[in-house]
Amino acid sequence: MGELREHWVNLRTASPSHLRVRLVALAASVVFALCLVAAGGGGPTVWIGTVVLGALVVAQPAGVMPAFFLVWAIAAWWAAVPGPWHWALLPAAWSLLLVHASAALAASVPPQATVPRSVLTRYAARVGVVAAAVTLVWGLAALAAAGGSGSAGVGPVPSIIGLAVLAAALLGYVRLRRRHTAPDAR
Amino acid sequence: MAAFERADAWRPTHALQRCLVAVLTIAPVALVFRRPDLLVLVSPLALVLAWSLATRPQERPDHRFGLSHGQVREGDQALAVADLEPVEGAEVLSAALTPAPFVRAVLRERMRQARDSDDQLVQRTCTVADADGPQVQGYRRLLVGVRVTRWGVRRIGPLQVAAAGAWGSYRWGPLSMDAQALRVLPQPAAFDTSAPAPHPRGLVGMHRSSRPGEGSEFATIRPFQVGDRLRRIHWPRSSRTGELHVTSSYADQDTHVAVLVDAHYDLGRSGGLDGDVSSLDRSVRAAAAVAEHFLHQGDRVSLRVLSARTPLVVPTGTGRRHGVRILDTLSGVQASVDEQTDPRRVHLGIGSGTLVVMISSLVSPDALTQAATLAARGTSVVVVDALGEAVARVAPSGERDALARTAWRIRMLERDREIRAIRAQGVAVVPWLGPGSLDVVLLELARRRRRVGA
Repeated sequence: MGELREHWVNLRTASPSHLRVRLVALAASVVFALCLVAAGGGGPTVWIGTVVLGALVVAQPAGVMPAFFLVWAIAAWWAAVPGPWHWALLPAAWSLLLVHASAALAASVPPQATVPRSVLTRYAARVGVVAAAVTLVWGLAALAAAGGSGSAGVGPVPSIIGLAVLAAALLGYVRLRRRHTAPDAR
Repeated sequence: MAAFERADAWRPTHALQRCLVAVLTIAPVALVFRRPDLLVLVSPLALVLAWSLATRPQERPDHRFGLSHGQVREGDQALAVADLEPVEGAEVLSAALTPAPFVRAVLRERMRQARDSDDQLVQRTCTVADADGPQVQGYRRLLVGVRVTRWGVRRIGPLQVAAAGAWGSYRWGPLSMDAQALRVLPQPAAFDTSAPAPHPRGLVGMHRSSRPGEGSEFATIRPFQVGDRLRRIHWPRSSRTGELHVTSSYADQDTHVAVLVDAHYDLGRSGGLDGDVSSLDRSVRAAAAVAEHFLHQGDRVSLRVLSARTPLVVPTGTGRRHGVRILDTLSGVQASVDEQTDPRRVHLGIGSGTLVVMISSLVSPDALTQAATLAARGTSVVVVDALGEAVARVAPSGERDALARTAWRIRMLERDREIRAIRAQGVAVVPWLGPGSLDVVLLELARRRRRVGA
């Protein structure tokens, strides 16, 4: 209860610039919900849930809430949109980037402090660079989808690669945990 | 110690962890289930992850903390200065001061008032800076403006410093640095008096002596004597009479003013310079005002604080530096009752001819006893009632307790009786009203002295 009150107090006393940074996450979550609508996926529950989680990211940018939002959003897309490609993928990916960047910046600075303009400019420029790279990926995905049967022609290779990556990820995660929980971890 | 070591290192944040988890779970799923759209969705997080890992900061930033001023006056502003080394990979630097009583943040943006879970007002004593800004001796300087609202030795800090890497993926700190002490001198209350000091005896000052001598106030025109200065020759009179005449003046004299501050009790709750005033606040500010006023007139001023915890003494002196010394001493006053010492036996080292200004809330009978003892020796004593009209506002500690309220009222009645008794002994008791508080009393003392002299 005390932690919830701290979040509420932080939100109420946040500087206007910090609040604007947080609100970017909410705006991006609304954009993602609209992308879902445009792609014809999900229903009101999913759309409203996306926006509500976006609001929770605004309230708690430093905790696990942004991770919940990302998992929810991608899972909702996977479950609700038939795929493999839709034009709304691009704004959806951009909005995920904005949610992440907004939460990361908001968590990096004290809520009551004014966020300097130079920091905002730097983040905006970087988001622009990554957004451009994402556009490239989106274009490649469009070409792959337009190429016909997508990855069906290459047989089970993508699935094998996927499972290998998953196994490597689990191994890497275990090693990372062990390194950070070791007594002499710095 | 372990917590300190954990803080004094670059550690991955939730932002990095969520990128890592998202990429390492979504990408395989996308491949297994042949969904390139999921790869597109996770691609920004993958790029951010790669960027963060490539620019991971390695070095720990060197850091230090200081204050812009060693001492300030009440209501003045000071800066908490945090110097952080902008190491490679660090992008956003931040500093935050732990809230402390009577230390307010200097706001640069509007902020709503809110209380935290400890019911304390949230202060905006924090700042953020870009690591790529101008540096001072290789450090990036972070400034937190604070305004101190009450005299005394105030703790500024502890100060927490932190730094974040690219995309907020790695964080160093927050690391706590020890609080710094800031001496806050009392802001003298408005005070002025045009009345003369009752016993001017010194050689220089602004009080007119009854004797002729070197001074600025005209006395008479008299015939020239050997030793008179040529510039004092009054030529019109000399040319009329054919004999040299000179203008003579009264000597200017100073006096010794001994300021006694009764710091046995601090009644009421202090709200700082802009808030409620406790009895010790009024005493200290009144003492500062009286000392500054007489020092400005060229008088010699000494200070003595009557308190068991801080029995401070400033010997007689004059000038601006002495004034600062008195204010500095007053800033260290702490209320504490001394029940062991008999006030009649305390030797205050005050000679005859001294004007004693005792500033007291008159709640402790000790101060009144000492004033009566001094007056009985023939010393001019003026007691300034620091509680004055604030009696009604100053609440006893148990204000909600009916018994405590009754006890307080009884004590106030006793206090009135004690004040009447000491007045009957010839000690002037005046309430502190700021400018002109002492005028009537000082005029009366001067008149009395002239009558005695005649």
